[in-house]
Amino acid sequence: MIRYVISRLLLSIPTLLGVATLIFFMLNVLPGDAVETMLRAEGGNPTPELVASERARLGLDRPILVQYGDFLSGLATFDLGTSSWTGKPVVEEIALRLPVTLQVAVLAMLLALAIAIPLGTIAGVYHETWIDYAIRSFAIGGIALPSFWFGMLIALVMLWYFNWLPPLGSPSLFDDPLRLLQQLALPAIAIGYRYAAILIRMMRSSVIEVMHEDFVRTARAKGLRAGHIIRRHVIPNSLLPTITMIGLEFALLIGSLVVIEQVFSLNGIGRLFLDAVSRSDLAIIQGIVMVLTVIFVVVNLLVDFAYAAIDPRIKLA
Amino acid sequence: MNLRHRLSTLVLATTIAATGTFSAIAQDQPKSGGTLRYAVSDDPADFDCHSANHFAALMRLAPHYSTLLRFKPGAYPEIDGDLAESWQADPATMSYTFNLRPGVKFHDGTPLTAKDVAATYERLAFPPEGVVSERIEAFRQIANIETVDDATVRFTLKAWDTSVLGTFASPWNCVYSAALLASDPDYPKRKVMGSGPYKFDDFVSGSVWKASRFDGYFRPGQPYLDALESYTMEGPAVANAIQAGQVATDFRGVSPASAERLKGAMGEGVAVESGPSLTHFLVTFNSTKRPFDDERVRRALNLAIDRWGAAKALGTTTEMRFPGGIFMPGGKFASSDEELKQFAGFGGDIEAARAEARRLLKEAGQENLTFNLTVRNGPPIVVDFGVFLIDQWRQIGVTANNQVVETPPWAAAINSGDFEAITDIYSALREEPTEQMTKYISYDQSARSAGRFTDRELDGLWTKQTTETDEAKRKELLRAFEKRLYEKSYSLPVVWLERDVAMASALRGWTFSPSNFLYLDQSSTWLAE
Repeated sequence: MIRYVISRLLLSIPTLLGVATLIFFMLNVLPGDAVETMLRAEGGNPTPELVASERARLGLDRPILVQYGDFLSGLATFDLGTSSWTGKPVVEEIALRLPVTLQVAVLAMLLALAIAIPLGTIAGVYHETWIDYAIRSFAIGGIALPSFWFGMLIALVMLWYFNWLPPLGSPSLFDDPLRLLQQLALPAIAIGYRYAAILIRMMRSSVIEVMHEDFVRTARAKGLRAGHIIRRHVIPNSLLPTITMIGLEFALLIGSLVVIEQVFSLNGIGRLFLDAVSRSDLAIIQGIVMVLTVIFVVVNLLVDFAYAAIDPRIKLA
Repeated sequence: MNLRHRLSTLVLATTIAATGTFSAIAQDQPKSGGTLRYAVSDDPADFDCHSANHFAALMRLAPHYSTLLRFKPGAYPEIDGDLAESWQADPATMSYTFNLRPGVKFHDGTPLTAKDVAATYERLAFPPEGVVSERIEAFRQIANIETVDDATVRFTLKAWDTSVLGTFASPWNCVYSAALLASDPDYPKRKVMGSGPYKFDDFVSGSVWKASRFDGYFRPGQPYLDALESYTMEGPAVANAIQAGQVATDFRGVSPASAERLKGAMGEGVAVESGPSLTHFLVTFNSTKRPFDDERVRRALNLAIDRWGAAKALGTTTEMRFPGGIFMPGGKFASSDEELKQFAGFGGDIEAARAEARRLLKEAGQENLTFNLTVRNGPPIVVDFGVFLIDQWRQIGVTANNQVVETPPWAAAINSGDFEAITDIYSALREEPTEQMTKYISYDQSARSAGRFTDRELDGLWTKQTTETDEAKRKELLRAFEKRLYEKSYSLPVVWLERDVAMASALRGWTFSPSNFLYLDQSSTWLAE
């Protein structure tokens, strides 16, 4: 198992390096001069000397490979540069907002799992009955509704019927966990619903497939009770494709947060990303894409470890 | 009822509403205590009032600073002393002398003297290398700033100009500490330290700005509130937060639809103040680029715009309510409807105007004109305005490509002249032609004028009106300016906005005005509950 973990960790290094290289060169081949645009946006016609001195100040006058080397060494030391809008280190700007984004994402994921595993299993076990139809309708609703629209809808429902909205500000997990939960619950529901819907369908299909496997038939023939068969044999064997989907969907969930944070006025990196795009703040954009990549790689590593824990064949291979 | 009557009624209604509010205030003594929570749509890039140009920055910074003069609360547009206790204007020596209040202190406890005022205005009028003074043109008439003694500061002008008094009342001109400026001329970018009613406590970027009462504030008994908390939010979230009681208001205002929704949902729990705003949308053609260097082409594009129809069509769903020229419709310097209808682009018969536009384009050899219209990707209303213009020009056979860009490239385009036609918003601080007309004079006279044209006749009329003390004669000069501008069509005002500020009914003492920039220091604001 330890060898497996180490090999997966080592494999993630070239993945991150590849993504970092792609981000750096893609942003550097974009048309237009970011420095000139920034100076012109501040007013007047910047002289070529001013543009040159600003480029020198930001280190953009050096050869591209030297800049690339600096970018990589910055990444290794958590130095992602400075925001051209606020003048603050990018790491500081992201660190301020990352906890909110991760908290919503994790809460949404937990909510989705809590809904999807039981409902997917029930739908699979009772497939082609009214229970299955009801659960499938619920899942189709989740896939069909855009998360941002569903978020706006539940916010309006809470406002109109209960005159309540999630509290404002930035409550801390340690100082005021209840307030934090109040703030994050609606956004987590808004994006967790879609996440759950996809997992329900995946879980249902897996359960139906596993229910027809020989070992389940054997368990039945041995006279084991249905509940025991489902808990001990069907659910663990149905979880593998669902876990794959959890990893893949987590990245999409982070993407959904870009809009959801705007809807619920949450101070997360999704909102920072939108602001950075509208202000052409390349350092922030680059930093956020890098952080999201790291999150995606880490989640998929965890998914791989979960496989190994659940399925001994992977560990042994 | 024509537009002018409707506007007059609206202004009157606002005045009555405001008077009613003030009567109520007179009966209700201001209460001390409480925290005012309000919404602000954006964060400031840094903390320097002098270089900022976004109202969102002023909403956060104004409570922390004093200015030399101010717009008197409850009496817009009357000007009152803020740091200045009194002042003398002397046309003979072309000077303004201000006598400062005694005992004013900065938040760090140091006394505020004439040296601080002089250092602040030196920074504004003659910024050192690396310091940006965003509104430097407003100080073009200042020749010299002199500290007479610790309580007296004198400004000598290059030419006599009464409009400069409003500049001293501008909330952007926050007074900074001379001692701190001496050690670092750029300190206001990173540190908030003034002599205003509230002290800076904390700022969480993207979330909240917190301030608390400054006990050493120079106005006895003020401020009334214990604390201010402004939350960063925009769009539908603002109206939702007002309805849920999370914030009391957004001082910038909400859309008419949101205002109606809040009135329906909250009943007496919300008060909505509405009135014409000092903000208008305009479109500018780059007169240095073909075919916009041809007056006939610009004039044709002007004639194709149905401003009266725009106000009817767009005004039902958006703040774009009033057709108007370069001065606020219904305001003291505006042309009447009858006068406007004499100007190119404002006539009542749009079909005749469009026939003339087609003729002009044919004459100029531009019947199939195609060009790019640069539009800022700002609030939806800004994009709507661009789409409206494109539709108007489509009706004379002109194709304008909607080039929607983010704010930095838009600002870069307008500042560098890298555009063919561009839309813009202009929000004025007050009704003052000298300031407002800088958007429409030659580029070498005002960098705010984006059209890159040179028109000495317009410049001459602008200069003349600055010194004309007879109001009727001044208005004649303004009408002549407007006539020339619309004929030449370098840059065109199209539609003016309405301002709707929805406030929790407990919020009292704040003054509604046509400008987004005024009365943001919250010195006289209080909470009834």
